[in-house]
Amino acid sequence: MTGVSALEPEFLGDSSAGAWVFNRDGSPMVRSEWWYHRATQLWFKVQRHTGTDQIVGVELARTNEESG
Amino acid sequence: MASRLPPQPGEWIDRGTSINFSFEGKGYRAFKGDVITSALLAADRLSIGRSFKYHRLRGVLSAANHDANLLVETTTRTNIRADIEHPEPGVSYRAVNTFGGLKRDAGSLLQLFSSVLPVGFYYKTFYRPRALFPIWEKLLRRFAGLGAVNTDAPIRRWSRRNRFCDVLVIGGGAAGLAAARTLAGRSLEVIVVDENPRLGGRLHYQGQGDPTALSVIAAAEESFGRDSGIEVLTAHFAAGFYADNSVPLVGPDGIIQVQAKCVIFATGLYEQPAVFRNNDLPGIMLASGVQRLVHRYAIAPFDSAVVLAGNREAYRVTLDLVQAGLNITTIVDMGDGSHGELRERVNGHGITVIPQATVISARARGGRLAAIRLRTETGKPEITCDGLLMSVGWAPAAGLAYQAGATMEFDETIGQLVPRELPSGLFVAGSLNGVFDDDALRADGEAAASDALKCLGLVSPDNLRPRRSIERHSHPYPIAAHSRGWDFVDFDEDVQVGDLRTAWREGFDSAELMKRYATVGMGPSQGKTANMNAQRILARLNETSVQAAGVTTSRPFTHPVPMGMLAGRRFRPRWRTPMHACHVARQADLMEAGTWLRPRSYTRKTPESAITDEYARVRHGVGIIDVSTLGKIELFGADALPLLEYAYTCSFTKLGTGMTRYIFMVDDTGTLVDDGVAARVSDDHFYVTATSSHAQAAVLKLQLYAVQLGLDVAVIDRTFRVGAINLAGPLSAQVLASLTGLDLSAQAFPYLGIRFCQLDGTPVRLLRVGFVGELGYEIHFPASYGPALWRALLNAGAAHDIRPFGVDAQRLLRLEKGHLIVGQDTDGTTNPYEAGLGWGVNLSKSRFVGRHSLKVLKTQTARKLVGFTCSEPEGRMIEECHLVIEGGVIAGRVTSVAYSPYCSEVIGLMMVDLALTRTGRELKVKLTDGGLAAVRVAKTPFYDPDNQRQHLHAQQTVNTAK
Repeated sequence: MTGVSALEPEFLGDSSAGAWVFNRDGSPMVRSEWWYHRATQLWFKVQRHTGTDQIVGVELARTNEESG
Repeated sequence: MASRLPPQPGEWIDRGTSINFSFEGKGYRAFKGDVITSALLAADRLSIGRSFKYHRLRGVLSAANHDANLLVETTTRTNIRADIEHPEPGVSYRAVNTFGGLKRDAGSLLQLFSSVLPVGFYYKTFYRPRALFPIWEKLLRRFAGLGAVNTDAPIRRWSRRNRFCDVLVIGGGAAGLAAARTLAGRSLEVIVVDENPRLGGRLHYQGQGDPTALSVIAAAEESFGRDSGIEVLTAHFAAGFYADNSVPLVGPDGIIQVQAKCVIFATGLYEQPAVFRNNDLPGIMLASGVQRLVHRYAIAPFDSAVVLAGNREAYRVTLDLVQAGLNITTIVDMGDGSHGELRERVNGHGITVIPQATVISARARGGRLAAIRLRTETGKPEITCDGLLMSVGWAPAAGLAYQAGATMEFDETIGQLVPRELPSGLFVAGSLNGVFDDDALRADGEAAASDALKCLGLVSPDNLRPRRSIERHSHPYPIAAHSRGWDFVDFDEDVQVGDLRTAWREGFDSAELMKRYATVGMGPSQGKTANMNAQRILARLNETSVQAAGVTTSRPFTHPVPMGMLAGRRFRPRWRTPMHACHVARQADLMEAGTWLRPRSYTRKTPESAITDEYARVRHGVGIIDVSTLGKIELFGADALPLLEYAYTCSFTKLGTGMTRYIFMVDDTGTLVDDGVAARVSDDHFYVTATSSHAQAAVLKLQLYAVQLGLDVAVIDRTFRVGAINLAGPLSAQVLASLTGLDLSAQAFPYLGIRFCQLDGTPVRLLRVGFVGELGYEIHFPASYGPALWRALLNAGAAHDIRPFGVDAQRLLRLEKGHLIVGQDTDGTTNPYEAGLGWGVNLSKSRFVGRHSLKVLKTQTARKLVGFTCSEPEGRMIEECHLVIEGGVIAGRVTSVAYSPYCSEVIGLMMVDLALTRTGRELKVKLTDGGLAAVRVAKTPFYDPDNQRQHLHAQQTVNTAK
């Protein structure tokens, strides 16, 4: 299982590209993360407090194909 | 004089079994159950170790694992703690860190120079002149450090076990046992861990006048077991505290990694020494240390002793030891000595109590304590004694609790740090909590167990926590600094009061800074008997409270853990391709390529000629290579194309059905992470390959992007279910034609096409790709068909002298063609523009991973991957990662290099500064031996720059085959 960052934003000014890549806020708080369950090859959207490791919410991420 | 006592109630030794061993060349006899220290003391050997810096003689202090005075070694193991190690029969032990043996340690001469070796001396002195540092370093390394590691010692591997339990009780003393008893018989899985070989903790060695203590231990040993749900792990210590209540328990057979729902810390206290001149002489011990020696091993470590009293415990110890038959003459009480009934009982034994006094120095004769000097209300009398027991206070064994996130506060009444707050699911019990009496310890253990039960959602009686002790158990300042030094705060590191004062004066005035500058608490015992006094000294220097002086961060491990235990057993996957057995049968030289086993070449005898032969067959005839390690990913769905457009840098709009193209992936910083080939099978079906080492990551990313973007696409990893063979060489079409009826003509099956067909009954996909620079077909097939297809190809090509080729030949072939390998010719900082792959980035696409970074990087390219050649003989000595030197500074590095049979010279790829990339420019490469090789920047590909080989031969061969 891994936590993975957000999607590449669609629009960014040239000056904010570096900020988006390198200056992400790392302070502890509830964050939305992508977690992978290897055995089922499923991705989950997990709300986790990065300071306490408390899991606030878990949601199975579905593709259009699966949900539709 | 130290000696063995008559049998003691509950002693740990078996007097019926003797063990002979030697120490420093002399033979000794131990009883079974003895530790090295106790066996040596039984023979009146008091000096067992030498100190770290000044090589002072050292004896027993805690007789536990709380100090590192007594470190010994054998020929194979070092830094063995003599206080807890049972001697093995016939083994020779010696003290560590001596020059010429314990007795005549030449290093002890350093004591004469102590006045010119203040704290920080080495930092301040040996950094210049810089040129001499290697000499200083060599000298200092010889003097620094403790035991010497024998690198030829047999390697032992321990396997790590994993355990889960409801409650982990750390510490099997009075409180821990009470907690465990409360948890027993409730269908809970409970583990009680204690570092000692037997349960009981202080119950065992304190208060021997009370026989109920021993019966409590005996009852626990008898009743705990499988039925009660209580598992006892003695001789194991909790080494650290990690996330999710994960605690490694280190024992003689390795590490048991326990994950517990609740943890009860009943870890107790470490007794602390007093500080005065020569407080490290053999014969000066912690009072609890003497009790351990007496009650565990029946050792009387002295003839006549004085007790230095900073608390009421001193009187209890005195009474206990007198009852055991030891001779104590005097109690030097740092307070007013008004201990009521205890004082009367002590006096009743004829023991003198000197109130308002302290020990200011000690004197040795023959390497052991001979006398102590006091400061009393009336003067400075000297008392002759060969034992001094220090009972001046305690420090919490709170390392694990700290690591778990506990906050502590200093209770001024009892003079001890106690827990204030703990994360949920974690509880503290016993003297660590500031309770001391037997009844209170038991009640506190029971209360902690009740809290744990409630935390587990179980019904439990409301056990009230007993009140903290209301008397002082630790003297507020048991430190008598001496103008002439040798007043040790830290025995491990020979840190004296003056060293701390120097550190403070030079500005290192916080706990963490003082630790690092003066090295207090940095020795093998990690400050267990030093940090508390250092904190008191710092508080006094800063004119603040002990609480405000602060403590240093607690880190694992509680005690040192052997590296082999941490490493555990070597578990590493080794993936085999479907054709593995074929390679083994052909005597392939198998190498690990990531997790895969791949043939390097197909003969073990002369690899160099094997590679040249394999290379030549591909260039002039035909060869096959197993490329099943490639990642193979299938994309199905209406949104397969949008997914590829987002995940990869290039545009797929021009990729026609039945065609493939080269693709690569970058991360959000624009760094190249993967490359491969994408084939459009139909509009909603794509087939993608990835590099062997990045295959799993590529699948993950594609699946993630699909859900993140909400795309209608299924990403299926076929890496392990599909095998692949690259059939390459000018004669490859002829071999293929004999196995299939598929039209192989350039019109029907052009370069970069993909076709589906049967090969000798095997359903396959053929991809016309040219990685090695010759006409070639990548054949993909269900994995189970691999061996049969491999053999069919070899049979079909027999007439053309087909040969399998390995990774080394393939690397040479692709290098001549100038094709890079992601991860070899690129690293974690290389972007596509530097790698010459800018043509594969389509910034006009509105959105793809890495677009923002690549947009910036495109304008900032500062180096480039270029080819080079070298016709000089020294070119043969160029290796990958050799540096390019220009004007005396590093200007690049070689990423690939090989002798090219086609070019008849050494060729390679190098990443160099942009200014140096003009074709024909001469550059210098620094070789391993320090010499320089002259190379020339060259155009790539070195071989077939116009890609003629892909087209010419297709037509030729098809014509001849049909």
